[in-house]
Amino acid sequence: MTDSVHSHSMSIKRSIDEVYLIAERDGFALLDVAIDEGRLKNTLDDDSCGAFVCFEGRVRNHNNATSVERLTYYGYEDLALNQGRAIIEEAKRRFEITHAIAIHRIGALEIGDVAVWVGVVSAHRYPAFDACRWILDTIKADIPVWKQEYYENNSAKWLNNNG
Amino acid sequence: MSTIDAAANTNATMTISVLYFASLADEANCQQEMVSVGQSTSLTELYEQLSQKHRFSRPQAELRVAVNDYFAKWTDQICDGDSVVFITPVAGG
Repeated sequence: MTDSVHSHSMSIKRSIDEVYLIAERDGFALLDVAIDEGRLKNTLDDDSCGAFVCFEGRVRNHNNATSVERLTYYGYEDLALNQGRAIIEEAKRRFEITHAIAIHRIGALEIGDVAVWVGVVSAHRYPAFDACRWILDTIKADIPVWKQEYYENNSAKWLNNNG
Repeated sequence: MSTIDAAANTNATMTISVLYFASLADEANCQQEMVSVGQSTSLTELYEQLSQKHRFSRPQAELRVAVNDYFAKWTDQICDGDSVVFITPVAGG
């Protein structure tokens, strides 16, 4: 498997500052470096909100019984941004929340790295919990990001959230 | 469009930009290709043609499709210059 056929999906076209501006405006972006959680949390600060719920999806060292060395995420950035914007708009319709931001990272990640971050603020706690879970589940179902796991024997496999 | 123009376009072709990701990029062994197809080619026919060319392992039923960076329906029409991406099952999170 050569990286050359995947290079377009291992990094983003936009600058990091642009990514955080898009995340603030539309609620979703892809990033190809470590996610700055403090920056996202500051963006969500709102004196009318009594609740802040956050989810971090981290790279774990195993998949079922198989030991995982590292993995790479690949993304289709332009579709991901369009679909992500629609997901956050839908979350704001479904739940009594003030704002939500989610970022998915792409590229080569190590065990323990944060792959996806979701933060939701609302006046009260339950809508924030519910929306955070719904946003994450919907990202996993609909955002065009793919994952390849690498194992101890140097083999690799494309993963599938439905299988 | 006049009748004459419509008739003149019957044999015209359209150029579609196809971008590949994940296992389809491996199987096509490229990121992108420009494909010339007949004017009324459907998304299903386009996938069928490319599937034969590259011997894609996944049937169309397992894929979604995007046109110009938005998810589309397989029955949506495509136009000259459109960008098409076939989406294998995603694995984010």
